[in-house]
Amino acid sequence: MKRIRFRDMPISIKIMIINLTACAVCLGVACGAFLVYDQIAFRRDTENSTHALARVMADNSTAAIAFDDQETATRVLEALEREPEILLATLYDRRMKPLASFHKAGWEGHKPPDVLLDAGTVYDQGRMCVFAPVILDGERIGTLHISHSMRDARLRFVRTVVVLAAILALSAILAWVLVWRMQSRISKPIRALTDVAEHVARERDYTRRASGGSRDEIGTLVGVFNTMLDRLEERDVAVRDYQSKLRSMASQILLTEERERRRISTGLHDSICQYLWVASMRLKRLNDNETIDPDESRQILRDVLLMLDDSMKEVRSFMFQLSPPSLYDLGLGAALVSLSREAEQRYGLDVQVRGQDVAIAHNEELNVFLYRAANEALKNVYKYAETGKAEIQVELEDHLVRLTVSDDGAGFDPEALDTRDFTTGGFGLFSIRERARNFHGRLEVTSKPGRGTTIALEIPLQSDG
Amino acid sequence: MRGATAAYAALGLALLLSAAAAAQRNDPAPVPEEDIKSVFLYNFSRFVRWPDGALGPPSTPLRIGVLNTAAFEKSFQRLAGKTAQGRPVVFVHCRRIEELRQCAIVYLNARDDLLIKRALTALSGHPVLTVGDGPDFLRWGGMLSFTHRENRIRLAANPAAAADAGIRLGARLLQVCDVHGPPDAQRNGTAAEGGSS
Repeated sequence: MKRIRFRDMPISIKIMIINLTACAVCLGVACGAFLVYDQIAFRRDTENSTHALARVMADNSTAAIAFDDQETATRVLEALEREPEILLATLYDRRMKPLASFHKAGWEGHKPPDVLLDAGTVYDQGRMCVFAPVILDGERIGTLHISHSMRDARLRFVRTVVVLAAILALSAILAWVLVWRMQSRISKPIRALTDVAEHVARERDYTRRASGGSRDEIGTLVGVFNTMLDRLEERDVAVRDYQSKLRSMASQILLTEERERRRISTGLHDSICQYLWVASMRLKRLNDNETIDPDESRQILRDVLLMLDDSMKEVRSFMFQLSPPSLYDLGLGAALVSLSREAEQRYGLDVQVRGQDVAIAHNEELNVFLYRAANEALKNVYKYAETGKAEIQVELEDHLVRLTVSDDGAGFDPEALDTRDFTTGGFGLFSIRERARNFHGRLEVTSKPGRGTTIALEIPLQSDG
Repeated sequence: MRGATAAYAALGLALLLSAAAAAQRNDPAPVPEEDIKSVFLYNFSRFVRWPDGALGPPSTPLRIGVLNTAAFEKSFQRLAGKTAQGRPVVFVHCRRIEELRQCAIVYLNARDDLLIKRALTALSGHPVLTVGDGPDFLRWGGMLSFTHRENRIRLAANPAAAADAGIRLGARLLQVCDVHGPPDAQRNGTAAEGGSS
């Protein structure tokens, strides 16, 4: 059977073991101390009572010793027959010669101890030997020795050990029951916390919370754990929302791209192709009719030239919409100026461009992003701002380029941006913010209803993006 | 005269038996009977209570007298300087009966029974503890007597005679004595135990 180490045991078992061990040690020490004290006290009491008996006996023996009366001395000692624990008694004269002695039945072969005292106690061969002087007129005229059996002390020791063992066993059972009932106050919240932690780790379910309203360390731990779960849940929701936005944006981008292709295709078909088809028909007539008069042929050529010119304009317009040539040839400032004119033509917006002469290090990707962002912002002005004026400003500060598009229109609540449902479209600002992050930059939207809107993009120039 | 002879015979026998008893107890040398009796006489002073004022002022020594012998001289010398009843003990040799009245304890060891009886008569009513030899001594009115039994010196007491003289024999003393005389006297003597020792 595999042995379980203490540190691997459940906390309830640990609490039980620690408490029971402490109880057992304390009770054991207390019982041991009591046992020692009881034995010492019992021996002291026995010694005191034996000394008192010896003093009385010695007092009664004064005349017997004084007159060397062995018979009387023996008679005096025989009074000890009534004392069940007195085994042996000897009366000595002044020179410690035995005058009389008494032996309990069965103890006839026993002798006094080898060491004889004038007074005091010695323990010899499992018995207590008490010596008391026989005093007459303040003079020691003899000594009485009494040997007291230690059998009662041994019996008391055994009896006390049995009683203490029973008390220990009952106490251990009681302690076991009490600790088992009370340890749950500590282990239960910890076990509940562990269950919640395991569930969260296994199921990634951040909605579960641990219970426990105490103010102790466990309560603090539960509170901190729940707070951590709150934040994890918030982050989980944010991540899910973010992922949802990204998925929607990817879908929207595909849709937008398809729309743009269709718009270009339709535009080519409806305008340039029409011009070219009509021009080709006109040229065919000129080619097929050799007898055509010169005036008509010149008219045909003028019409063809006019249609080619219109086609060129359409092509330029498409080219500009697809990718403004000035952005690559003349830089961001010129492209923004061109964008302002386009907006004026397409949306009727009066767009002021400031800082178009700012020299930005050549970074094609960054320039395209800033141009598209300004374009998206102007579209928003046209769609939502309900105003005919807008302003684009480009600033350069210590390795940082700031693009600001502002209007004095209707404005809106920026908080509503975070709760908007993007599944139906409207990824402008979200898309700009995400791309700004890609450049290690940030997007700041400042707006209030009725107070206009300012969209500021800050992109560090040293970034790799 | 016949009593005195018997007393001497008993004394001789006692000496022999005491010596034999001492030999049985492995004593290095037999103890002279005078030594034993002198110690007994001294110890009597510690178990007996005299009437108030009978011993004189506290500074007065307690006199233990022997009527007519010089055999105790060496034994008494061994006990020189002893005290009893809070007084120094003095051993004296009395040559006349009148001198006996000045003692607290007298040992009447005369060989002449008539002399002993005369001494007892002279001391009658006086607070003097009379000690003698043999059972007749108590019958004549003596208070304590050395007797010999089973090769040992034993004591016999006549508490009634002592009570007549106002002397109380302590209970512990009576414990080692063969008591003679009326029972009420014994009770009185036993009850007298207290400050006697």
